[in-house]
Amino acid sequence: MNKFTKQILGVVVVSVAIGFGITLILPNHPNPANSEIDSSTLHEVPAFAPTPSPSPVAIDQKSNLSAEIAKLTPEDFSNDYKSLKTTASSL
Amino acid sequence: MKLTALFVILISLFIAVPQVFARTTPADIFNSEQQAYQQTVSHYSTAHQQALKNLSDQIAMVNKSRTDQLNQIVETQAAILDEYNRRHPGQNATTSTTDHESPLYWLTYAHEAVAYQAGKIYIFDLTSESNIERDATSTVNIFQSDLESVRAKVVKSQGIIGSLVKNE
Repeated sequence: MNKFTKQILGVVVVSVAIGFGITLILPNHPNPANSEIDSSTLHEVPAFAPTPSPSPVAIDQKSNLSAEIAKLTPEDFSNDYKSLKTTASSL
Repeated sequence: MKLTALFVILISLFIAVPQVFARTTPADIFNSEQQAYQQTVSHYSTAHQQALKNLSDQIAMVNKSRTDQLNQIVETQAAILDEYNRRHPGQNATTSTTDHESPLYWLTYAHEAVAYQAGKIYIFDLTSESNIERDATSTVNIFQSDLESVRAKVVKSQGIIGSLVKNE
């Protein structure tokens, strides 16, 4: 085995070692080929009762637009968060 | 000869490295988080597993109910904006002042935010069973922050359309 062949082999061995090192250090990304969501691992989303919502507001030529828009302020969601946090803190 | 051999080795490295830096999609991240969750929760007690499932269902239920309401609101805002445009056909109200003050811009922004929030699934980032309360509360806090951000966008849209139609 001549000197040049030894040099080539050395480069190959070092390159492979560096490649393995990078593979081990970097986080293990899932294979993009399998990027579809695996439905077997999903929670089954519970069937919800239809949310009682206000009847659709009919906006027409006679509507008072400023009054209608003022009615649209969303509710305060604080009670929902409070309820969720109570459940979480009871775990 | 020497240069050719080194060139071939270099090219081989360039071919091999992209395998390591493969593109990560949102579905990959979701699957990865979901698998990590399933793996961790499988070591928890049955009572804790059930409690986490109940809380997850509760978050999903609140998210569904609130995003439905917000969606209804932005649809009504859109109807009001349409009516305003009908009353003022010569005036392009949807692009008044600058683009960022445009009622249509903010309405679309809010509508997209509501749709995105409606599709979110919250997965607990579990550390250990002894920390279950903190982990669960952390997820609830993230949910609260997300939903409040969407609510603020709907309120912002309401304010901009409101100032446009204040004399109508």
